[in-house]
Amino acid sequence: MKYFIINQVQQHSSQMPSAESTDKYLVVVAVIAVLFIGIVGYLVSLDLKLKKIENQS
Amino acid sequence: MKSIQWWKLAGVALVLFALIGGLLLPVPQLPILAQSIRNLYYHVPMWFGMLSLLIASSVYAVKVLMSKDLINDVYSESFARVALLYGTIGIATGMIWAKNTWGAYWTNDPKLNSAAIGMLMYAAYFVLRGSIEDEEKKARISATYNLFCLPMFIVLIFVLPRLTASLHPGNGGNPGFNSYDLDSRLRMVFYPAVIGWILIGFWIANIQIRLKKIELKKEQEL
Repeated sequence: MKYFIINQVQQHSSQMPSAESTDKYLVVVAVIAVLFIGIVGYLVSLDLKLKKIENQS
Repeated sequence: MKSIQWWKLAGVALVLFALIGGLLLPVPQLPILAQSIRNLYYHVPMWFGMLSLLIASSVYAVKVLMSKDLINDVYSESFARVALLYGTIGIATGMIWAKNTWGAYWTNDPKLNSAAIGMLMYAAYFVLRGSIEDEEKKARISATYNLFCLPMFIVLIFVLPRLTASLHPGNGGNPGFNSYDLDSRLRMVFYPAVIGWILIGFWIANIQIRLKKIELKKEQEL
């Protein structure tokens, strides 16, 4: 993944990205993905709880 | 997970792809925009999502006026509520983009001002709802107001900015992204993002609607 990002940036930039900045970029991607998965997890739990209540009544 | 409908899972998959792909996949190198063009995947789908939800809200507003079933009002309100949330996120992502490309969080751009007016119109919809106690009267008056809001919103967002000078692409004589993006690299992430966020918006509204239905049922039982 790191080499993929370095390759992408190299194609469009004359500057070589540092390994540190590539790591930071991956951290940003990971944090965003985790946040979204957390929100989805909350939605799924709400959905399932509602389904349970709907089935009971 | 079996009881989660397919369209909800499709929404999650598409948005997850757009979130990750939007940051990692290649984008056209454009002057001024540079890497900030990736915000296209996060900012614009919010407005598509908002508009879809507002249309759904208006459809149920018509149903409120055509029938006396108050459940249609629950649908109409829930769609408008999620649309307002999407609009708020759309404005927030737009402000970040504006700061990085135009140099200020808010400029005197007609599209920005129109979006703000459109949002205030829908905020007034909720104020109106809150000011009426009788449920039937609330449903009918707010449905009528809702039906006036949608065409006004479309004119404010899509028509007026095109008639005057604007910083936004595709407005005021500025070329749209289509004319920049000849190799369609943006479309590969943009379209899934739009569809995904619309589906997620309908999912959130669906949860709200079901919750209110249960509340109404319990109130009737008491």
